[in-house]
Amino acid sequence: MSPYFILVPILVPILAGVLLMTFPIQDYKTRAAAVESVVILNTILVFVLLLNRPAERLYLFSFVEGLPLTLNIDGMATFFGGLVACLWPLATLYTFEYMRHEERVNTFLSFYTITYGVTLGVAFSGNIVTMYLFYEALTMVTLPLVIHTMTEEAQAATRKYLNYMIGGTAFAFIGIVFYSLFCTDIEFVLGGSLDVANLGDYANIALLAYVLAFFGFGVKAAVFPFHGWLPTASVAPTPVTALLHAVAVVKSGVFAIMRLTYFCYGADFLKGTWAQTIVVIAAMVTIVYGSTMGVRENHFKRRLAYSTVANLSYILLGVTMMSPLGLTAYVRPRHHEDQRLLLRRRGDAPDGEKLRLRAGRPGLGHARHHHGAAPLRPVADGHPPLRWVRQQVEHRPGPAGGRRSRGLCGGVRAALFRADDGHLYAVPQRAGLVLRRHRRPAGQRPVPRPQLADAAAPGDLLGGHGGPGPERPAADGLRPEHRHRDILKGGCVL
Amino acid sequence: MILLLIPVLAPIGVGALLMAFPPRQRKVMLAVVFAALAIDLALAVGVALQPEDALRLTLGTVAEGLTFYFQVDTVGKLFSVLVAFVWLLVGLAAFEYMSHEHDEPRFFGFYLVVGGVLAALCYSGNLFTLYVFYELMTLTSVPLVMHELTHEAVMAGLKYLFYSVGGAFLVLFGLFLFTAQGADLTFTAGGVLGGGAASGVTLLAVFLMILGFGTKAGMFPMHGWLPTAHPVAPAPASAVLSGVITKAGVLGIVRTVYYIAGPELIRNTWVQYVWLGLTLVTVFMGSMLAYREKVLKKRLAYSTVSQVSYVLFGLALLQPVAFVGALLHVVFHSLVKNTLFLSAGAIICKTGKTKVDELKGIGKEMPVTLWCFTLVGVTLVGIPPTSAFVSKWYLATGSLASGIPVFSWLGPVALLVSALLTAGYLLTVSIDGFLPGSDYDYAALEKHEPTWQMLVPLVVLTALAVLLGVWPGGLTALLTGVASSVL
Amino acid sequence: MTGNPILLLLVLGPMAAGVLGYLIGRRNKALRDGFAIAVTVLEAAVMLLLLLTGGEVSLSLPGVCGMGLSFQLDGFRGIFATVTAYMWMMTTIFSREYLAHSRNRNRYYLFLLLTLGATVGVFLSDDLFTTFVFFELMSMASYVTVIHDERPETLYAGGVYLAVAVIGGLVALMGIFMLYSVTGTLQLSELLAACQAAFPGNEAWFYVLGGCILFGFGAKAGMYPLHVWLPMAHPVAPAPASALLSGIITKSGIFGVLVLCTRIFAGNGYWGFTILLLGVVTMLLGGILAIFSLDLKRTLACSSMSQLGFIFVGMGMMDLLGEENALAVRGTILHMFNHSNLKLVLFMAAGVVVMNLHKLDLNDIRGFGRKKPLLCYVFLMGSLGIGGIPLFNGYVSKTLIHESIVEYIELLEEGAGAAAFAAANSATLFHVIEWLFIITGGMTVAYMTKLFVALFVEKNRDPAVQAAFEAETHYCNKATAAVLAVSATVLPILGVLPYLTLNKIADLGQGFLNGVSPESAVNYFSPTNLKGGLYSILIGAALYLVVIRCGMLVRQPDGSTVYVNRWPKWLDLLELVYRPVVLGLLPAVAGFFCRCLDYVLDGLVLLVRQTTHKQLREGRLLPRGFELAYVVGSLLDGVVALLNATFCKRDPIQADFVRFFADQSRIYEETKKEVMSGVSFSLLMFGVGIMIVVIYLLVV
Repeated sequence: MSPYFILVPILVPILAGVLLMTFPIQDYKTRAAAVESVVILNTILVFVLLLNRPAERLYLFSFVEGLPLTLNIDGMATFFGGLVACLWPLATLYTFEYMRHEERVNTFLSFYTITYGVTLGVAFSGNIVTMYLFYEALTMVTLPLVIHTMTEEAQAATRKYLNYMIGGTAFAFIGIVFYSLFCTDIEFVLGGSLDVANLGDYANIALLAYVLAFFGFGVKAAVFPFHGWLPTASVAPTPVTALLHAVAVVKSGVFAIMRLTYFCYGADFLKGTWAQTIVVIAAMVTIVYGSTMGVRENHFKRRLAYSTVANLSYILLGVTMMSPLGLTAYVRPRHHEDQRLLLRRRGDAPDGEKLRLRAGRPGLGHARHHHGAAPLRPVADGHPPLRWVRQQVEHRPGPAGGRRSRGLCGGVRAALFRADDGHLYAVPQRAGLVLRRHRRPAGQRPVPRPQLADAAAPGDLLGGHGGPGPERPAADGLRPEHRHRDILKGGCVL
Repeated sequence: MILLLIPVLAPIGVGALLMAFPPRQRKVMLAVVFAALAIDLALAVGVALQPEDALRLTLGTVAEGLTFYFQVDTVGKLFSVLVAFVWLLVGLAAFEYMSHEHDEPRFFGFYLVVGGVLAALCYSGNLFTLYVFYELMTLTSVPLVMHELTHEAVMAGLKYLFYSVGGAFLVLFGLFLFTAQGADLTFTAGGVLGGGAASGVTLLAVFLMILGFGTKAGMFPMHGWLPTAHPVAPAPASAVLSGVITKAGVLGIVRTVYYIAGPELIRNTWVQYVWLGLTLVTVFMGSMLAYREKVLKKRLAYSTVSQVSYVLFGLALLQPVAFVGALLHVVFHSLVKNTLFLSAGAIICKTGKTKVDELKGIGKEMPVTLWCFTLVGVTLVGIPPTSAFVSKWYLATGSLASGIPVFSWLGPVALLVSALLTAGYLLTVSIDGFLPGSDYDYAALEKHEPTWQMLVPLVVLTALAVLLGVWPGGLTALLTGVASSVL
Repeated sequence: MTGNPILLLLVLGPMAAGVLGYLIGRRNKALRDGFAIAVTVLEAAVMLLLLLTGGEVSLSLPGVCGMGLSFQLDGFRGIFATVTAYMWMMTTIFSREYLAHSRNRNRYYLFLLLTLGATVGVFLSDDLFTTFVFFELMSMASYVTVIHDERPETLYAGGVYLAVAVIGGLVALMGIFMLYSVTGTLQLSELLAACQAAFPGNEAWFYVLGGCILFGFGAKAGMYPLHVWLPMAHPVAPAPASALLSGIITKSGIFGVLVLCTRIFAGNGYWGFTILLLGVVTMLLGGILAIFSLDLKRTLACSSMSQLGFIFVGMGMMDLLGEENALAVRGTILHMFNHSNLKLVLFMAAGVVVMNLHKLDLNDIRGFGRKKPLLCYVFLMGSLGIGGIPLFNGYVSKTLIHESIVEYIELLEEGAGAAAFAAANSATLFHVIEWLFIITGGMTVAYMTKLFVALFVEKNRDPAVQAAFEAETHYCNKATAAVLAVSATVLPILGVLPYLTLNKIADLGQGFLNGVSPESAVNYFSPTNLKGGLYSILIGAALYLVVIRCGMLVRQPDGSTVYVNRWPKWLDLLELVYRPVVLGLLPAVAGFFCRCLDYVLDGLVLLVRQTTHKQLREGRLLPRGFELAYVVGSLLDGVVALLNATFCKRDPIQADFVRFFADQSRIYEETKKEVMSGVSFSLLMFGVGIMIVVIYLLVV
């Protein structure tokens, strides 16, 4: 297979997007068919490409003699590219249904498809510069998607999104420039090609550059200080948030960090250094912060956004372990599916906005359209612990730093799972259980209702001193603020 | 060999089928359930009679180092037969109790599923399998607690779920640290780490696993769910929950301490002392709160908290005699607590009285039920000829022989104070029940005795609880063998 | 299962019979009464036969009840098992008539026979484990017989009885645990040697375990601090039950203490002295309470407590005298034996009174006994016996114990006191004890006289009632009369011919207590002994005349005299100390502490849910852009509101800071936008930039 073929799956969606924008198709059916066929074609092209990988790199052109633009498909690229390729058609299929009632659908779909191409560009980029180019393009292309609804809230969200992204890439640029100056060969090579020998006293500067680049790319990967844009961007229409959260933007952020860590600066150089400590701490803090905010958040989509923030940092934690096998964290696909599925589920309740978990009236399922127990696959119930256990087994004890930090983060992770899964469990539990109001215990048991309430009152706040607890309003008409107290009495959302 | 899988899959299968296709007539359903339970007991006994080395089965490998491996040793046999036996009897009692309830297929479905999962838990051969079925047990037993779907029931179920899941994650952290040591997790008597000084992290791991499994066993910091879950759950469910499912927590701790970490690892370390302290605090706290509790089922729940910590205290001593006493108490407490809850259920089901001070003269209305309640109450207090006295005797003598500085005498003192409180909260109920006073008008008396479906289990369990006390020989010999192999 | 199964039959037989009797009773009441009596008669016969044949019979059942049960029938245990059976026979016959028309008799007979089996089990037990097993069973079963008529005050007294029994049992169990952990055996035969060996190492451990076991068994034996249940239980219990209770069930408590004194602390001076002191206090307190009590059965109960005090003194002397404790041993055995018989007679007599009048207060039953020769004879025999009047059995055992004290005093004067510590060596203290012994003997005479005079000599205040009393000749049926007569005549026979009867019994029983028969036979009727008895009688008469006739008899305005209770109501150890502490203070404090522990984790989660994990409310989102203004404004508004509410209530400050700050920030925003967009601003920025560059170039 000739290397030029790598360019095809990148350009096809971009061209298709441009065409759709210039010759918009009004009819819903043909438009859907056209776009979907393009996307599926492109996916097939990607798989064909990935199956018989071209041997050498594709050299496009170079801005200046030291910075060539090359495309190459190695293990990482296959992985990320394949992932994007198979998820994109599904997302697009879903978008048609969702966008049926919106206006300016053509522009939306065109940018949606262009993003597909650009993401593949990020995946297949051969060196850090190319990746940086596509990385920036990705931001620009996703901008119109976020601002699509043109509401005042969307504009504010987009402004914030833009500031974060541009700021982030600026930091990343510093790292890239430093790398390009001190590397023997700019192309991606596993283990990195930083000629540590003649770094001499610039070693600390190199580490600083790496940290800056990490936080630069980390903005897209929603690392703690710079995750702000993700929850606010959740006001955008659902397919966009599904796209942003699950596939394109955030994952490319993580992908970039992996490239940076393992293919540029190299794990051996970074292991055990203060840089690694900072980076690991950042990842851990994000995990805990994401989960905590997830529990606090009432807005359904914002809660899922924070869950993404937390889950991304699981991956980063694996990455920053710098142990040789950290790279093969299989977490990412796992996280992809459940995010998209979850977001999709959320999407099909018509008005995305009012999806707040109205306190006191639990259960989506309970809402008007009664599609029964929302068959939410308990998102986190896919036993993250099991998958994490495998990671753990593969990590032979890394350097002392790694071991200590892993011990620490192990604890954090265990506690965090609780919090993370805690709030996620609450959602399906509530959604799933159609509360039987006015359930008088059947049968001739002459148990007068208030007495049952008393008798069955779980240990009330004062710790079950028995006897009739403080007179409570009718069992089911609980006012919201009693919510958490009551949960505590009956159950507790950690 | 495959025979191992049948006691696990049969109940789960039948349970699932029952929920999927609930039979129309109630009679058919009850027959199916009873048949399933009876077969399950027969299978469990069948497996228990097999020689130990025949009972090994590797199911599959989830990941390198994590396999589903079943291996049944004496402890596994004891627990599985106990579970199956109690499951049959409580199931029989549930037939009548649930006739007043709704959604019976769902209740009996989950009831059978939990039975199957518990069998698997007893047969599990390595820590990973144990952990998986331990979590599965939590998830499948939550619907039993939530059965009535009133607001309180749902909240109590959630609280039970989060406490158990929280505990499970503490165990998980211990599991991580053990896999990180590169230890093979199959259960071997006396521990897998093969001696050597225990590093701080390993000790922490063992302690967290004890705390995690202790959640299910109602040990002090994580016992909050028991008093909340029991009053709202239907009586058969709470009987099973506190009689048997708490024993799953105990089994977890036995496996962790005696078969993975090994008693020598934590002997005379801070882990043992803190664990002893926790159990004694729980023993006293459970009894005291039960003594002051007005709602009958909540009082029994607090009593479970206290009694299961007797077992944990025995295990924490790491001493052969105390180990035998602990496992004896597991069996006896399971029998006793099931009887107590079933009789409480009978009282609630027939007369709707849930508070203790409403029970004056109940002995005249339901003589057989309250006779069982009294005899079993006397057993729990530890009046000599009965069974709990024997286990209390072993626990106390084991504790005094263990030679641990303070705890060796403080333990028996705590046990006896708790026994006194037990007398305070159980015997008073019997006395009020049987001796309503001379002004009780016998004319207005009308019998509320439950049907045979409830009486047979009650009488059988009571008889066992008392007679095992008089002739505990067989059981003690069996357990002394296990103790010698482990300690 | 080795040994003669007859012992098992003796212990389990009555229990099985009890259950059988319960079943029979559901159909035919009369048959059940007969069956119960038959069982007790059979039991007594077999027991007597075994005792007389004198064979050593033993039985051990390894593994039963965990540690295995073992029984042994030798002299001492045989005697008391026989006395148990004998008393059960008598009381069962009596209770047929006593409970002729009361409810729940089925239950009564079931538990009566269960208690018989358990008590025989206690007396025949050969190791402390068996003793404890049957001791607990006896407590539980006897509780039900005590609360037979279920009146509120009966249930209250029964509750106290059960509480003391359970608490005592558990503390004794703790003692037994500690004993087993240090000696490794509980067999009575091996215990002496094991304890001798283990004692030197850990004295403190032994004294603690001794204290625990003493607490448990002493509670049942009505020892001083734990006697509270005795005076309460007897008045409310049915007469046959209280006869058994104070007659033989307290002796099972004494049996436990005897094991302590003769096996675990054999010849230990400290221990002996402690028991002695407790005995003296119990003896005195019992006597005083008996004198002041106006209730017939309560007086007899307190008298039991006093007589048990005598037995404790005897046991104390056994340890103090060490090798030469023959007198103390025989005195203790005989006094136990005599007291059982005496209390059987006295309580049955009281039972007859209660059966007819259903009243216990002395003022009500005054004069009932007149013109009732049999009752008078029975009560007289009992009173004389217990009073320690010569020619009666009480005198014999009291003299022996008195002699043991005198002998110990002589030993002390020769400086060979067995106890090596100073306190016991002071002869004067023992003189005081001897005198207290005699005074208490006098008290016994006093209160028995009080009862006798009130019943048989004085007339009732109300002549009509007195006439009715005297007219009533048929106060009990033939069987009860026979039982009363037989048990009453036994006492003088024992008293008159001590050498033939009591000495034989003493010889038979002393082996168990490692006692050895005295070199010279004790001459009971020697002048010195008679002088001791005489002193008691004199003191008794004096006490009766002074305390009772003057102190307690008050002349009413209408000329009649009434007994008045001089004992202050509040001075009751139970209500003053035990009940408030055990039921009030401890549960409250411990309950609060446990509730806090219970609430720890829930509270923590709630705290976290209120602070870091607080649920965000939509409504509270701050207006966009004016967050600072909103926060500062609401803060100041709060201050203003506070001020208005307090200081300047008259002229409240009208100010809305939120709107004020909002306006300010809006104005600021607009001006900033205008300034920033202007060209001049960019020029200004350009100028500043150049200046910085120039400075940099010049300086760096």
